[in-house]
Amino acid sequence: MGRAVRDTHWLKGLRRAWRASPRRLRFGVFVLGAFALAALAADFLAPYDPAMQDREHFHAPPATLYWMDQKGEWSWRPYIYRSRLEDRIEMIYREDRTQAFSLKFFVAREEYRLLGVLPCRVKLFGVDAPARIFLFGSDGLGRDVLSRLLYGARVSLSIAAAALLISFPLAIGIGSLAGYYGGAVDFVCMRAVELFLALPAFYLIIALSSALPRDVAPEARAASIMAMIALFGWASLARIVRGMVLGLRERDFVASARAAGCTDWRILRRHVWPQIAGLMLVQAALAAPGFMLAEVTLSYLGLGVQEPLPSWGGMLATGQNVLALTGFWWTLAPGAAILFVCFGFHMLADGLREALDPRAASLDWGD
Amino acid sequence: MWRIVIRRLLALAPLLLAVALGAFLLVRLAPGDFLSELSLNPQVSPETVAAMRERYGLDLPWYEQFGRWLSRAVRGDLGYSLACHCAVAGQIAVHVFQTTVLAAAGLGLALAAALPLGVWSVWKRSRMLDRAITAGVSILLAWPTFLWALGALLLAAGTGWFPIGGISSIENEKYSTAEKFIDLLHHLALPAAVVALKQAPHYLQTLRAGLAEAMVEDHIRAARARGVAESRLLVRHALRNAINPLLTMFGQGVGALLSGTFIVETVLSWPGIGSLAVGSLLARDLDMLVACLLYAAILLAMGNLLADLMLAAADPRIRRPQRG
Repeated sequence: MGRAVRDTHWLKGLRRAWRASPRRLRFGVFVLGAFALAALAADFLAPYDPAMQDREHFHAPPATLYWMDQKGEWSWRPYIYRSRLEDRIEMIYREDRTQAFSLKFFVAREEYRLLGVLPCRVKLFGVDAPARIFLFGSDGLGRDVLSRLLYGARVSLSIAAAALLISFPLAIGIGSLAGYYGGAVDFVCMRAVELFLALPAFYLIIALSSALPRDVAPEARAASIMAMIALFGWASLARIVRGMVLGLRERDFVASARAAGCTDWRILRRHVWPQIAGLMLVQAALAAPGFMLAEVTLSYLGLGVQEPLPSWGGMLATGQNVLALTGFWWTLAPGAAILFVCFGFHMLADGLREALDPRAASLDWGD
Repeated sequence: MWRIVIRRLLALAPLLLAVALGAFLLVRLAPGDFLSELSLNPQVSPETVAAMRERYGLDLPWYEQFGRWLSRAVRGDLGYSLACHCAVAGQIAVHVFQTTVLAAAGLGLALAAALPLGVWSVWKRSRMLDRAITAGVSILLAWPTFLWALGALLLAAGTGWFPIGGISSIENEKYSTAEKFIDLLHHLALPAAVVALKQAPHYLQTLRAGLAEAMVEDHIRAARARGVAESRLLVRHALRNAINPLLTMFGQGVGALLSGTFIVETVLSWPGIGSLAVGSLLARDLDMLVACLLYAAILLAMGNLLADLMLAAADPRIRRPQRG
């Protein structure tokens, strides 16, 4: 892709590549980009603090936005009614129709730091004081599901991304060593790979997670969960890398580079890795959902990220209670988010594969 | 072929030792054990706890505990579960069997769906059907098992058509053998379907690619020229070639199958080795957890071995490997 547009400015080249790329790839980039942005800007997008509990509004259903006032006229801005818990046993909420609270954008709240740096006091939306808006409903402790979803995206996505960033360089390094040097290095590396592939990863991760001290900060625990997931993620990829490097090692351009006196490091960096970069990206996109789901499953079982840090798996843990599952379906919102991210990665991988090798993309029946 | 089996089994021994030691150390590293939880119970006196601690050797240093455990384990005694008050070996055997049942049912269901659908779709050669299957496979591939399991739970809880978790009804004791079997199938349906949903698209995709590749080969053209019917061509000639990549796929998928059953077991509370591992972990039931990890490694190794053996049985080139 890059070669044809070498003479133009790189941004222009990027734009051309973007236009020429398969639709699936663009879809994947859009979806994942949207989630990444939402996670980064959670402070701005989320109406409430994810840990803020509300005893008057537990398991509140998603708020209904009204666009028409009671006389049947279109309202110039949507509004909600305050919902009150009418029956604590049957969990029935009733809207108080006497007073409407209009949805306001860019409302002032207490100061926070946007992206961790910019001091900012504006939130995207909110309603006036006595009322609270639960666009996606609230959970069993009266916490806003939307806010938790946004902050949880930070935790869940960054664990997946960090695990990917650790395990992939590891895989590429070990795979390249094994494939490039062969012999004893190869033997040792491949035995290590086989060992990791022969281990039942999930079982060991849960055992590892239990060995973590219980009294560490939730952030530290999240980081160690990430490290454990990364530890079990590199092996299968290292094997793929080794195979590819093994093939490339015998090619003429590597031989000529070696004859020209290039160091091994330079050969790997300038001649071998660029050849496998595309396929590595595909593999990364294919592996990413697995990394995220490992965290989700662990947190669902209560062994991963701990409260009060919100994570998608931890939010879904309420689904273990069957009554909550059917009665308060909105608490399953993270499930939809997980699905979107999985599809995003799948499309990204598929689109990348097609962009790299258009012929292999579709099944050809040969007639 | 037997040499492969023996070599694999021999290679398994150090692996299992490593897993056992690793699991042992991990559980020791974890804060607290079953008895420290028990000592929180006001009805149990500290003397009782101390006596139990001594009786089960929980007061010894870890290497002595491991040595004791190992010497008993090689004689088939995997220890005693303090949480269920029973021998670990019996419990493990039951749960390993139930995991195997789940995995086998899921696999069977996946193959029962993928094989006919794959062959039929290649036979039809309809562009619409191809598109539909490609799209369907793409969606199924991206859809995580965890969400299928959660969806199944929702289905069972919402409609009441299926039991919510477990392996048998409460009245199971009173049932006749046939009723017990039906009861088992009823409980198995959702978990197996979830396992199958993750496996089937892989099989379908591989099978279709393999069939499409095989159908344009020379021996198929020759057979077609001899007047062999298209359906026979597909099932008798092409499918044989396409089955190889399918078996390879199965081999690569054994690990995924095991992690799939793990998720299904824990979400849908199927009493297999995965849910047993999580349960014993939460109860700090040391012997049981170590045994679970051990048997998970054994299951994985057996699955891989089975896949290799099936591949060897299907492909004579693999049965007699060229040295080198």
